[in-house]
Amino acid sequence: MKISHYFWHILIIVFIIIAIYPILFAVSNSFKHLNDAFTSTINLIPNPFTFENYQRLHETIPLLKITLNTFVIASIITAFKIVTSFLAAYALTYFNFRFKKTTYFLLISTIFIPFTVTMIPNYLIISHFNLIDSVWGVILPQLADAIGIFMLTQAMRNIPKPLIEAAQIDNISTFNIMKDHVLPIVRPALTSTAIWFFILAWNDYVWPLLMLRSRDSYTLPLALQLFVSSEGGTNFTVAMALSVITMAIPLILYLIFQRYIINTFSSSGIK
Amino acid sequence: MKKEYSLFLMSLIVILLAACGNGESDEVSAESEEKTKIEYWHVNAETQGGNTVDQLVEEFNAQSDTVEVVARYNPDMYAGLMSNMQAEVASGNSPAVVQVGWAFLDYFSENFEYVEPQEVIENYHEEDVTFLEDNFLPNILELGQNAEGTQVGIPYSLSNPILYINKDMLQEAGLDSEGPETWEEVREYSEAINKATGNYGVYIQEPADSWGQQAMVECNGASFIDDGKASFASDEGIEVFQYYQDLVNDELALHIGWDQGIQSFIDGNVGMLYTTIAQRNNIESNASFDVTTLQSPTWEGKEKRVPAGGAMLSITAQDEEEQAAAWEFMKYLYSVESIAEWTKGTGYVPPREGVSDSEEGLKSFLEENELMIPAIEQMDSMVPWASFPGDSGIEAEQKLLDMRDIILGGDVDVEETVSNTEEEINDLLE
Repeated sequence: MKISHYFWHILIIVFIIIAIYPILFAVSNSFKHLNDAFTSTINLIPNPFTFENYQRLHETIPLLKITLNTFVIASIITAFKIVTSFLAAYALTYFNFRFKKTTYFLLISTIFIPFTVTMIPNYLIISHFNLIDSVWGVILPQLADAIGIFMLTQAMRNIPKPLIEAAQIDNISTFNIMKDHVLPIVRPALTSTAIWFFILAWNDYVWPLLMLRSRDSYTLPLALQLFVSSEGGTNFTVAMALSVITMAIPLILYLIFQRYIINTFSSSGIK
Repeated sequence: MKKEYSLFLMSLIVILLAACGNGESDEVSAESEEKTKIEYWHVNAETQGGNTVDQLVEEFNAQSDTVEVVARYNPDMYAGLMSNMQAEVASGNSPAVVQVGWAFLDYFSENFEYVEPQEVIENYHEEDVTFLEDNFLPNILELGQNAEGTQVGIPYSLSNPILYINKDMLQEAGLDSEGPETWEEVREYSEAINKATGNYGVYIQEPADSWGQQAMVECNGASFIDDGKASFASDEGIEVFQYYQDLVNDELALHIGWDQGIQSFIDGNVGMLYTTIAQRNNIESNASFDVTTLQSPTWEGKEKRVPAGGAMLSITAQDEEEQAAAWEFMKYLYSVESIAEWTKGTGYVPPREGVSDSEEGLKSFLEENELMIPAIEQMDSMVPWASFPGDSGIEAEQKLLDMRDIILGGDVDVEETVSNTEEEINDLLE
């Protein structure tokens, strides 16, 4: 009994270290001089401790603007994806219409089309609208996502039909059923999907790379590339400082909304 | 919980408003001017002169009444720029001025629409008709010509390989601090360094291209590519690879990746480093010993021939107004003052004449940065970077890298390996 108890704890600790080490590594190197980073790779404590990497970032790129761009893009994409997914999932679960199954099947099958296939057509359309190098060019093709529809449909199917039917008999409007009955139950699924969408959009690289031109419209993952070069050498410590900023913001957001997020997960189930 | 919901909604609204605000300000600035707007595509990361690009573009825009340039950075070097170009061209647009890496010269000229700079000058800027011949060495201009002799672009970022020396270590080994002039001497020096300090004598750069090896072969009077065919398996070529393998086998040369190789030199574990002048700033500011540079070694009694690294600027603007604007911008970039800034920011050598010896150019800069001088002095020995033509070019290049790894990996027969690789590449190219 006891031994297996310890065994699991040790195993968990090992996994925690494996998961957390790269993050500590990035944080520690972001406070090192470049020389120090190369000579004492294993040592996690910077000696001497320096802010020069962050200062360099601040001096060389419009950091605030870039962070704001990333935030705006990720937030709008997440908001739209969640709203469209929720409405579509509701319709596909509770409404009866012709070709419902076919529609659902077609929507879900778009999940299996790789991004590389739609990349060029999307580029042509956006270019036609003259939205290249704007935040909207990045956002527009990403306003809906079949994965969200799939996740929320699954969640809604778990709600007993009689609950909804009872509400319909009581003459409650569809909007109110959605708002008061379905939304609270699927909120955990909604939240986790939203977090996932946000992180995905936050870290997105290829599509923003194609869209965005000037530094003022860059996102954080694009800016990271500015410090990596095969011919001029890579400034690892500055790149680490930018990585730390890139991962810190979703982390801070998570900490702020943590209580709320955990609440929704624990309050699932039908009351 | 309600409260947090409304907080979330509020922040969303704020974001939306902020985003709309952005759009509006863009429109206003577009209306207030009637300059020709062109795009300049480059690959210069922050560590490679990115700030200098922005600074030059800003200065140009401030002084020009007719042209507005937007600079676009392309990650992943020249290959990355080429793939972005493909998307752009597919959508019916194109930037006005692009950087084309030497290794992509043939690929670019076969696949994209461009105009020869001289043609643009003659059509729209009569006054500059002799600009190119007045300001560039003929062998430098030739770097920008494709197999048919068309001037695809004008050399802009220019690098060549030099030998960096750890003076302290040479002294410790009792060696003449003048350093080696030939590859034969490089071996002698390496033996002495190894004996006296136990360190490696030399590291010859091993990135994902064969630039450094090409330099060694060309300096031995052989060529890498002759008339579109691989030709490195000549007696002279085999001699070079045999020499290289012996150096590594005798533990006189370090065999490791490029980043680590440079770092080993900086850490004082290797006495000499053969790599590009573009690394000067990195090495000079990080090494804690007395470092100096020498021109590329050649072989005893042979002429020096070093391949050019870097890129040229090509004009890809399609309509007349943009082409004229492209040259106005390029002329600004090639001015003595701009090239001087460019050299300081990137560590490349100036591609044109009249920069290193003039006051408004680099005269005082070079007095303080003597390490650059050997690279500038060997400019008349520069030859084009060998790039294999056609669709199989990239595969052929990979075979060369594999060959390097096999030879340096240990006891294979050099002559057999080199001849086989040459044969395989020529089969590919057919």
